[in-house]
Amino acid sequence: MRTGSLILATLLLVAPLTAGEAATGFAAARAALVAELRAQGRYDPPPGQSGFSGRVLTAMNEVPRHEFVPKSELREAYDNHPLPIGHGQTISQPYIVALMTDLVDPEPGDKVLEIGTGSGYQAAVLAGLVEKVYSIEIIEPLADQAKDRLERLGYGNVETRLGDGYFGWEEQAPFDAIVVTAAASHVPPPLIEQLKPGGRMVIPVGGRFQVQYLLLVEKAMAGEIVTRQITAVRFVPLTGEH
Amino acid sequence: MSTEDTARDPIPLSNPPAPAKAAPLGLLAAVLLISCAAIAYEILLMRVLSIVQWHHFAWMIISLALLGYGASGSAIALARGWLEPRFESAFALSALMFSVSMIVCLWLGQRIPFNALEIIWDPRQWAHLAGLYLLFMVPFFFAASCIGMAFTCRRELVDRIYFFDLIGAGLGAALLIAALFIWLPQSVAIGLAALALAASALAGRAAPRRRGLAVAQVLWLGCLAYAAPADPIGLQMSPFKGLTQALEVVDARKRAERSGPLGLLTVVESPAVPFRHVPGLSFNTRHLPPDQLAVFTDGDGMSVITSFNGDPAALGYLGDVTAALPYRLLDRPRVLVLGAGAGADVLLALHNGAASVDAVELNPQMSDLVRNDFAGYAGNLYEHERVTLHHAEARGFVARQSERYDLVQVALLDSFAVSGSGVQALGESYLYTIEAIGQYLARLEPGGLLAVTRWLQVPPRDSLKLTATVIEALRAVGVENPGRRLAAIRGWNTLTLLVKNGEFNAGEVEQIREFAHRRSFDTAWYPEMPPADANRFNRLDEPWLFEGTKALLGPERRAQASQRRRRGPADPGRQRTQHLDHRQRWHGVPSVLPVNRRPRWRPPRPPGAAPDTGRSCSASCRRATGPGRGPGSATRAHRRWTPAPWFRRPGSARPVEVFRRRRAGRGRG
Repeated sequence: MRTGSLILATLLLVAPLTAGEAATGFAAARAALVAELRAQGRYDPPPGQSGFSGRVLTAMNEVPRHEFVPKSELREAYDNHPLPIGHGQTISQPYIVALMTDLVDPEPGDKVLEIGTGSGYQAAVLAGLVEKVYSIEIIEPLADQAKDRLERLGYGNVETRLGDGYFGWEEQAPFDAIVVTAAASHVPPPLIEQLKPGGRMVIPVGGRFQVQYLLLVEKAMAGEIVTRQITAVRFVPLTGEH
Repeated sequence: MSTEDTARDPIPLSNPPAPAKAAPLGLLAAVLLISCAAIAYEILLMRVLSIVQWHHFAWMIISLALLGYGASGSAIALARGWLEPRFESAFALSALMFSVSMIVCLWLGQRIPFNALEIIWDPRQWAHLAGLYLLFMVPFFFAASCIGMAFTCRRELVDRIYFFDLIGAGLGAALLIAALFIWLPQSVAIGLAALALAASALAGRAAPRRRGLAVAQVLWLGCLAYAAPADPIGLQMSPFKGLTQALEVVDARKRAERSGPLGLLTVVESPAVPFRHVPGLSFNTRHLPPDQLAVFTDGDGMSVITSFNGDPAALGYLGDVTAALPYRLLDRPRVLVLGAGAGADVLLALHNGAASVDAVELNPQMSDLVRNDFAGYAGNLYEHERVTLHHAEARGFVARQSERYDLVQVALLDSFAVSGSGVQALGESYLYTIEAIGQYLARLEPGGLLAVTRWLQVPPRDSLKLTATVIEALRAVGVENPGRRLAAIRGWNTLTLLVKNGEFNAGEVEQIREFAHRRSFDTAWYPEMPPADANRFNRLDEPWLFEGTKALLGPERRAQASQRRRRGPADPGRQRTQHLDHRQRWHGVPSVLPVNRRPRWRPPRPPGAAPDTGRSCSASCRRATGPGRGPGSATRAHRRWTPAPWFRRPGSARPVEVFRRRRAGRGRG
């Protein structure tokens, strides 16, 4: 499964490719990644579901992840691990993106809030699944880059802004789902308020490169809040032994 | 070897050493200076790597310094014949190179883009790490060459050289601690380079051809003098540390910095996106935290100075954290806060109606920030009429005290792990051993409470270890039924454990339940707790804490405790083995769960989890967790358990254990 991306990496190293050839290579690597995710399945699937939902994987197969990583990391764009994107931030491991997306259970008519745009990759994946994505970033250069990138790639249903995510995006509240990029000392109460009854919020807990578990916050129809801790760990191979 | 022995040494010298009378003082002083600078530089590198990377690199420094010493010994052994006639020049040159390499290697080291967090999947990081390792070895090679050459080429002085070598080393360690209080580490490095240069100058006086050497020395002195005010090294902190990330946020800026041997403290203000650091705050709270300044220790382990106008009632959010629980059971308690830090737990006590607060903080620089630099911002917290600040080590303070308190509160301090940097780099803590808990309990009034709040891990290996420790401490003082004196609640990320000097009564239990449920906290334990009351709001895969505590209190466990020889990871921490958060291994936790329950959880070993591997593994720890020993063998009663699937990566037969690098060090500096 890794072979595809290895060949691609080698090609990128040794031969100047035309844009078309490179795109084909990336598409192949992406397909291989999605196939890997499908084969691995979810580590801790809910009852009645063995792997990721097909919609989520399809959406991931359509987002050109290599457009969201820095040039220096292009070769690893479709490897199943996080990558640094500058400013101390990372683009999450594809497995984690798939799991977080799957956990918020996106529906076509949904309105989703993302706290922490980062590279914009998670927003792009969500954009293919829901009606509208609102995304807030606190680091200015990242916010600018992500905005340009998402516009350039034609994600018209993603709206981004620079600012404090603690109070959510009040003008557009409530949301069907909220995706938070990094855990803080507590879950902001304003965010919970902006969640629709029946809505879900997911937050990865752990370091930038080492998500330990995902915190899933569910708001019942009656407004009661329950959290669940979802085991999120997958071990990436030390060597290309797959 | 005595002086007479060396004098009779039959090895012929092709060129007899310079007259013994002329050399000694300068040479001995030079040896002292080199030794002093070498030890100081070694500790300084630990501090620097704690700041720019993480504290785990302290062990690496010891190893690479020894490599430098070993390599230089080999080189001297090989080149001895050549070196002896040129001893003075070689010594002076080597000392000069030591001085130069101290600065140059530190500078180069900042340019190696090593990211420890990617080391699992990125082979380039291994190369970067190796680069750092070899680079930082170089100064020690030169320092050791000076000392080694002195021993080899001046055998008649060996006793005095050794004496000055040891004196220098002792001085170096002491000097560095003092210097770190005054200067930032990068400036201290320049001072150390100047010491080595002075050694070179002293030794160079006896060298036969001095001019070239003198020119080089003067040139380097000029460089040092020119560069000193400008911070030429420019420490590059990892972009993945809390401080660097906080400074990336719009409008965030440094307000103050304090260098000290206990850590580099940096105060950051972030007006656009305030910090709002409140561990364990309930979802249901109606109160928002006020403005805060963040204090980072060595660029991580954030704590906060909270803006305070002198009116504790305004801090409503402090009634909605797990740590507020003990105050619901006590009326105007006299409180002892251990680990007061920047004051979060002192505010907690004030808001919740403490009659008086004795606040104990180890690091005077931390409390000085609150008392001086930001006194107005912090509302003169440590001068508050109900607060008394003590600068002391918590255990020592408690041992000396004869006073009794209604509440002893061990603060939630991330910086417990972080402030133990440099030589105490492994985050060992003696605050949570059986003996320590016993001391805290001895300071309680009848009916008083000990409250410990900790970050909750998933699954809760650390929390169960703490519970086990408390239970054993209670048993140690002859408490028949420890379960009746325990209560614990948890949010999704913190646990607050209460131990009462007496048994909880029904009214108190009701208050605990009411406090927890109103704030969507789960009760993890209270006397006579029904299983249905566990795991309601913040659902873990299993009610591990409740089940684990029940098992720890069970008769079977008690029997084990009395005859235990091998220690499992969830066993209580003792004085000898300390309490190491990260030492507990996965398979040990289930050993306290009931035999017939096979937990579903798996190891949360994330990619790149180097900081989370077993630390400071003592012999007993290795016995209990070493490869080939399953969890079942940690305690005899639980042999029904098979470890294998837990330690295998999905889709691979390779056990996870291969990712871990065991450290055999044991807390020696």
